[in-house]
Amino acid sequence: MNKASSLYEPGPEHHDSALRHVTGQSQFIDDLPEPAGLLHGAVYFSNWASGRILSYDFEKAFNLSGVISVVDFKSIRGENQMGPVVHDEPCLAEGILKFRGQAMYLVAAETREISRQALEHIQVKVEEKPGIFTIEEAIEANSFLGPARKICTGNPDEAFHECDHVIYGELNTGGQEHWYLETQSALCIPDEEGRMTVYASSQNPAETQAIVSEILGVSRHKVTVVVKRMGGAFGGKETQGNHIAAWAAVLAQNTGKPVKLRLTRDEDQKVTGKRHPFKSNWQAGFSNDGMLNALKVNLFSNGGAATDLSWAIMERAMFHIDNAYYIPNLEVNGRVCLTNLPSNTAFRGFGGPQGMAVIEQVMNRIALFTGLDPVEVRRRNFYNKTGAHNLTHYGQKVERNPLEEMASQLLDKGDYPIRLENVNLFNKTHSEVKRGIAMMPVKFGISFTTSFLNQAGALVNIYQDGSIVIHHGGTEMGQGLNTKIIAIAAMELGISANRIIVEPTNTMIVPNTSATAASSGSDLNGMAVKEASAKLRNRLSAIACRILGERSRMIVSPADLMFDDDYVRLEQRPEMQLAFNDLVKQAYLNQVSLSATGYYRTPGLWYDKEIGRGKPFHYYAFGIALSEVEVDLLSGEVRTLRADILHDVGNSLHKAIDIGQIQGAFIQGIGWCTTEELKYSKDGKLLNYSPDTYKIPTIDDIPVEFMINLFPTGANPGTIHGSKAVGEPPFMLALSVWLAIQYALQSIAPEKVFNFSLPATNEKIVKWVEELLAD
Amino acid sequence: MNQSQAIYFYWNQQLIVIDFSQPDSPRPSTTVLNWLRSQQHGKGTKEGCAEGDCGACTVVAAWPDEKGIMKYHAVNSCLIFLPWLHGKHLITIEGLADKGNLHPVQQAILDLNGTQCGFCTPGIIMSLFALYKKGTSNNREEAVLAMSGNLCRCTGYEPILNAAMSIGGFNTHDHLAETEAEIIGKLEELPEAPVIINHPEQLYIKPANLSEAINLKKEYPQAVVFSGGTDVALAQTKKFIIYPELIDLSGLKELTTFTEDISCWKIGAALPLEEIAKRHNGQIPMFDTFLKVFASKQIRETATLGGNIGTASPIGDTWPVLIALGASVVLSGSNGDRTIDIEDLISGYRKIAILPDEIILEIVIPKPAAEKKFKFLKLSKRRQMDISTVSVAISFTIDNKGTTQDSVLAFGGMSDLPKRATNAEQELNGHPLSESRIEKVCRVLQDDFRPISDARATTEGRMILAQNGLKKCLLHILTLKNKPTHE
Repeated sequence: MNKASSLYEPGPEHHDSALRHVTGQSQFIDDLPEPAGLLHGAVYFSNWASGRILSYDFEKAFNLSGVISVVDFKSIRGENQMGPVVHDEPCLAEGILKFRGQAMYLVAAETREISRQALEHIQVKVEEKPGIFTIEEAIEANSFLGPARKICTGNPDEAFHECDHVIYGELNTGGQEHWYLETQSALCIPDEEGRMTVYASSQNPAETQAIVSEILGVSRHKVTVVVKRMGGAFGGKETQGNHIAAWAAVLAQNTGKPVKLRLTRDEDQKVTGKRHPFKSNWQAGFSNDGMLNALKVNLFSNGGAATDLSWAIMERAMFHIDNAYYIPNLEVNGRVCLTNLPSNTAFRGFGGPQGMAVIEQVMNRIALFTGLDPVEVRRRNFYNKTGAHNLTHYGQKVERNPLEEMASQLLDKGDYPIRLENVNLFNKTHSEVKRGIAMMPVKFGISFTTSFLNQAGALVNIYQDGSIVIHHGGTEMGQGLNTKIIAIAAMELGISANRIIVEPTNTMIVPNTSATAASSGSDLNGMAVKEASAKLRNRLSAIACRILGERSRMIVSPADLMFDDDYVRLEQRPEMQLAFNDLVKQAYLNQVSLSATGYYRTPGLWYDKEIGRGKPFHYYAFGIALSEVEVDLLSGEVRTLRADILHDVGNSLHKAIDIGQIQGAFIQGIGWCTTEELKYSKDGKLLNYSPDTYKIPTIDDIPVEFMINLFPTGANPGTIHGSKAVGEPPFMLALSVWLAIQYALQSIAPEKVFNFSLPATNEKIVKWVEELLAD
Repeated sequence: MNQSQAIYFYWNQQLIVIDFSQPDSPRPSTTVLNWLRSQQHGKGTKEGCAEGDCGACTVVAAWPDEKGIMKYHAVNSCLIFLPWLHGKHLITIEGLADKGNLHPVQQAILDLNGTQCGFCTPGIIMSLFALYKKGTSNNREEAVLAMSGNLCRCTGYEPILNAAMSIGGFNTHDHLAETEAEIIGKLEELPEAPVIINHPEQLYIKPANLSEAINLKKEYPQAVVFSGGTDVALAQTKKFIIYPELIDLSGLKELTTFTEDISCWKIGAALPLEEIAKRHNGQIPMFDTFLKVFASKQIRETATLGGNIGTASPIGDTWPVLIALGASVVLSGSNGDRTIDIEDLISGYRKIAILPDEIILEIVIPKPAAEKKFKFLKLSKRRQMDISTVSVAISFTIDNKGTTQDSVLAFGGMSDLPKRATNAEQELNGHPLSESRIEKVCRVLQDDFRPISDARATTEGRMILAQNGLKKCLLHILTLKNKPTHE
């Protein structure tokens, strides 16, 4: 049945795994060949949000046929900790329970089925305590994680006095379940001398390695983490993939057997963290012509029961509270709430979407107040002027800002004035169904805001037949990083892409790497691979100079060489050529190393949290969207009729992959804005923990007309081949759909301020309609 | 009675025999997905949710229809038990490419960049493959309906939709077509399916005819009876509960009929919903509308009316429709058949009034008079592949004086049972249909129900949605008044 090896090879214009994906050959954790003696792990998760463990009994579970081991925290030989930033997450509960879904005990059994059945036989007595679940409850109880953060520019309190108008508002944005298709999984294989190989579904293998080694009580060099690919991640496997690996490793260490742990979909949805829900209140001062002069915002996020990445996420929300607008007087305060929910975590956009939703609400409210077209209000406030008018509230300059140009092109191509008129006309003639249209810009800062994380490594090996293997620190989660990496190395060495393969990320080969996150995977790892490839090219050049020099009887220097098309040639005399294969062979015979490492760190980044000033971003990525929706006022059903997107990726490293990121991010964003709603009971129990009640978009939820274009901003200075990151920025463009829904609803009562929030579900829409229709 | 314990089917053109009497043989209720994934070349099929909500496990099963023509059905392998495969040709992602050539649907997904992380891709491709084998024009709506049971979190679907629309043109040719006749011949030669599989962990009964089914149900009163299995399988796939005794009625001849006479349609209880959609040919009021939004294509390929009635879920989409249609249900037991009005069948939360030796035989839907008006509406968070927050099905006649009579306003999701809104019905009956009447009727709905708050909606939200849904249905009929219509 293994016919596919001879299949047609797709060209470099496609994802490097595309052929294996479409033939079902791509392996995920659960598809790996199972080692002999494999055991299946299961986790007993707390069903109590807060409390104290009084007693527990494993006997019945342990006696079940097929159960090999049941352990508690006492079986952890190292440190019982798996918090990535702050050590506030025990690997297994020690007496105190802080959230539903907290890991308490581990089971290893001969089959996955038995492992789950065993959980039913573990008996636990807990003294339950009342918990804190919502942001409101946390504020009331003064329950926070870490200090309050503030970024301030100008003096909004004074400036409000000088504004023509000052308005207030409040906004709630909901959480979001990642819903990667592959649930959290890990396979741990113990080896001699206490070594452990971990096959993980993790965006951050180096951190998985660090945490597993600390928990096992061994040095990091004894733990190898391998990540071939993930079946989707979206931030959900940036830190929380570590947990699954850690639990499996504890079982593997204790049983001495390989252990696989794969969460069921329900477990995954119940116990893992999600996008942070945010609550904000704001005060905005503006002029008659809609210029926003002063803004004060308090942001609160629901961090859950541990720190995880909550501080960095709040920070990014604060950095993006301006989105694309110059606000001379701006104060933003951020506070992370400590609650009894699973610790919320990274999710595409990382606080950016939550911050931007606030300022976009402010823009809509200014438009409502002044009667100006919301599109016009936004354009007037763009950063796109001179001097201080291009300075963000944290002091970074907004450079090479193409937004005004992008806006005019988008509005022009999207026939905005005519469509706006049609929408208004439609709304006058229809009472059951309304339409809305909205434009939304995005300016998204690229880099980890924790500056030291902006580093990457790579190893490139050339074999004597001219084939190449690349190792780098990034991870492949479907985003096409490896495809871009191949393109970068192929370009550097002037060879065809099919010579190159990228091997699974492996902590033993490229150490001390950062997470593949913050959209920076290709920015960082691409540079490292380029550097390694350039080293090899330089070494090969020396050999080529000698050989081609002898042949042409000229003095040849590296600058005379041209690496292209699997050959090295003299630029002036292209008939003087050497096949790449032959060159490699000659290098080997001349005792030249064909293996090189590469390293990159983003230069010039800094940020001082205390004063709220710095240059946290290497550059900004820009995008703009125009969306039109139809809202059924009676059923609350929303259909996106059309979405036009213009996005800035600098010089695209790979057009098909970049477009794919934009499409995927936008639809994921539509989900967050419309149907994806996390519902909790009053006592904090997640009610919709499976896909029958938690609704991500289907194929029927995409825009009927979906137009995406890359905006030619030209080469982005100081990045890999002048490109820009693309993973996260387009997610936020989907806010245009949310704003268009608001436009549609607003048409019922054009003057009335209503309690709009995110997501705009069918149920909320019919309630808002009632609110707007009420006198 | 067949004493063999073995099932026979083809998998990617290879004969597979699973003999449940062998030591270490899988339990009969092993899902097709779990069985595939235990095989060396079966890991291309993925588990995304184990509840039929994501489609990552989609496989295609092919068998000849009554005319002997091979039909290809995309199904969720996570919800299907092994014995269902008997006599069928199972096609999985590993069997699509042929001697160095990708199947046209694989090529389309590859060419149009319809894959990113790749986890949903095999399922997506199998759904596309079933669509391809249907030989359709593949317009947008058709493509959307065929693909709405497959979730993808990476691509945003646009390239998948483009791929689905690019493979049409009524071309169904591929390498499987070349061996189709041969496979049909081989399937026909397979031995009969076993009736009682006596596995150490489980008794799995698959009766060969109705009387056998009734006898066996009497003999094993504790056994769980099912047909499509899309509901029963969940206990196993989600809660790891293993039923000790199962009676599988799927494919039973007497239960998969569709007949029509002057006065009614009779639908076999175990006839899959997709089959009903084909056979009723747009005739039964509201059926096309509700079938389009009932779960997903994959689920509809195996789920049945009898199953949806049997589970008696307060949010089962068929109930309000059947109530509004005035349907009745024929139950068959050892003392013969009896017919019961659909409204009298339900006896409590998720309970129906059925005797231990009875099974649901068929559903009888009376043909309505031409002046009868109908409308069905499902209100859910998401358009496709969602369970109703509220569903509403209504019917009434307008007499020659223009007065509304005999109204039935049936709701799902508003009570612990699917239920009629009797107060609202009274408010509607005896008056001409008008906008102001509609307002009154919808207001009165508050006296009929006090819905619960749950994961799908709050009490308040449900009531608004129900009132609005009813209003939409009534307004729709009002607009179409005087035009002959069924919906």
